[in-house]
Amino acid sequence: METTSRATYIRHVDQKTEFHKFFNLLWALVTRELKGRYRRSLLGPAWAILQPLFYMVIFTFLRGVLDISSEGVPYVIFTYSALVPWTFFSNAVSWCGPSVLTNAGIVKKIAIAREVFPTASVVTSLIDLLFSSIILAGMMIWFCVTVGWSLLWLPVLVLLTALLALGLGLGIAALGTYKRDIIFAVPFLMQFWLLATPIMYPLGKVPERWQYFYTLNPMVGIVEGFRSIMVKGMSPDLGLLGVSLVGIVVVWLVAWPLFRYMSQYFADVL
Amino acid sequence: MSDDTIIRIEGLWKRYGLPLPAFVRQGHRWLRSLRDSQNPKAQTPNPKSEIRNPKSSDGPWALRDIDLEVKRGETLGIIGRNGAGKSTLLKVLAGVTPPTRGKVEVRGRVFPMIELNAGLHMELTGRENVYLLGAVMGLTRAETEAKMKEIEEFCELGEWFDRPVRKYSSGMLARLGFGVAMNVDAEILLIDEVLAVGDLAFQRRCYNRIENLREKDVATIFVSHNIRQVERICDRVVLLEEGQTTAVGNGEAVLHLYVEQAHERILTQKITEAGGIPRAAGTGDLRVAQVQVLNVDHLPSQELSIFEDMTVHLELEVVNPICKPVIAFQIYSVDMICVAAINNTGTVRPSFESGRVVVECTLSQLRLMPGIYSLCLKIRDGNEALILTVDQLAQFRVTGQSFGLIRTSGGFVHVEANWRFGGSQKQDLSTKTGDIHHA
Repeated sequence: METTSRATYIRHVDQKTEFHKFFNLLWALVTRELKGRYRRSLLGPAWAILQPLFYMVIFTFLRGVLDISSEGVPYVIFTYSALVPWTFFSNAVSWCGPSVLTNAGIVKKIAIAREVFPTASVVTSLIDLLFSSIILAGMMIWFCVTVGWSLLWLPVLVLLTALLALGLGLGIAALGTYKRDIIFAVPFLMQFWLLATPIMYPLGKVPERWQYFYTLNPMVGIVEGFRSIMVKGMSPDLGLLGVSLVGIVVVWLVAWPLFRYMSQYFADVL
Repeated sequence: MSDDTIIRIEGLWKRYGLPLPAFVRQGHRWLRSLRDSQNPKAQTPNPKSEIRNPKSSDGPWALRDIDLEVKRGETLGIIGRNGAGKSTLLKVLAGVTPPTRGKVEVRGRVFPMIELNAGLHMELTGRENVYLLGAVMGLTRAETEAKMKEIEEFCELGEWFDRPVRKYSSGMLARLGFGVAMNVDAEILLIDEVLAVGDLAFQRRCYNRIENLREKDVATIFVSHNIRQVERICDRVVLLEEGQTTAVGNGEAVLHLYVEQAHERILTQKITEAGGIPRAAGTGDLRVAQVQVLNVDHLPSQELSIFEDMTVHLELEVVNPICKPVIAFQIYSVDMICVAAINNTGTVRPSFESGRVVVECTLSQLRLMPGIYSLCLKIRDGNEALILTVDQLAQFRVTGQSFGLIRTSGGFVHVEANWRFGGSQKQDLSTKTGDIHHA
């Protein structure tokens, strides 16, 4: 493990067992979160559903005021189908930020790839996604949405969302561990991002001249994709999804090397 | 690297913090000046910190030029004052923090016995947390499961094992961490003062487990302030001072040096308040004006030789006359054990008039073993009521070149001994050794 040109730390380890240890710890962290988080709450995992439901109620009310079109589908399912992946994304990114700080003890103890902490945050919010999907499935049955083979796109979209969240999360965790400002800024940025993504309004309503910049937001393709599958029973727009993919690659190209470098020194500042 | 070398450190330097590229540093400084300019309080630069750190982002060196090799099955002790770099060294070995300069090579599975409770979730039960601690320490879930019974027994938590750990006492938390740690296989064990927690019986069992591991050719690095433990366990001891190794060698020699240094610091520690008068508590009827420890030549000295006379010269300022007071001295060792007590009952016991009184007490042919001692003074009046207590009246060192013993060898008092061995005086011991035991 080369660190800098002048310093070396060599440990003769078996790559396979290191890999094994990584997933072993990842799993333990996720179960800890799932078991521990709601242990002293009354509503428990219902909180995973309440968050998007709450937004849905607000948006439905706003729609009455602002007259937002929903492209001919019931507005409730129109907005909720976008809120489900959004909530997953937003929670995953928010939890990634302080994930290294909250696991300071482990960071200072063992030399495991520090990616395990943001990854655990993303996987944990993935479980929450499952809960909120149950309500979505119920709505789809209620509104008699016809789904076809396009449903096979769903895992791909979930994976893309997770990758984008983890990429951003790695960057935020890397910087936020040193300067807390980054972590403080995340909830605020997420609010802004929510409004800059077609969740409470359709993509078609965005003015023509802004469309180009607007679609640079990698969440646009993902959220639109979810909506196509869950509401319209159609495959996602591949062009938009391509933009998302490029966005994800760019995020990873920046954030991961940054995290790799900065994570070596996490133990120094915790 | 020879075959049985398991850890090798060459020219290791360590400085904490993220090494930033120059432009980031520049930007950071600019941001900070911006923040400080809004806060007039912080605007005045601190000249002291600038002198110490010309490059503001460069911290001090935590480790400086360390060279070290540890062999399989060896137990290496690391001692040193707080902040000497002991824990930093362990962290670098564990691979938790990278070296700044130099080369560190570790061959084998490392198990750091530091932060044993890393990763605990307070809301989960002890049992649930064991899986997590196991995963942190590199055990798979199946492995932890297989050892659960053993861990449960080792922890001795009883029904608490299935209660949330937020209700645990600190000792119980330590047991949980230790119980899991004891079941981890490793080739290198890094121990950082973790044995200080837990009750005596538990500590005893932990030591037994460590001894077991050592028999399995496990290299152990042991950081502790408890010199008795280090002396007992370690094959070799390293003394760290301000990030540098100042001594490496067999336990006795290095520990002796460390104890000497500690003693030196204790001697120079300020025990007096302003004006050179020791801190005292009492009724105010009298106070200490001056204290001196005099050597055999009646000269003030902090160093006294064993078997020579020592005199305590005390000047008291008496405010109210006291009828036949009892003056008592107690001699304490560094670890606060009362080694001897002297008082003047049954000898001269005059009453004190107002004004200055000089008391001199000579201890003839001092029989204290070499080391550092402190004097405690207690004065009572004729009715046994305490009127003055001075816990740290004075400190002195007893030297004994001819003895070359360190404090850890045990005992405080020199006892004259005459040895005699059995058998006839005329018998040739070298040829008749077998008979000696039976005689």
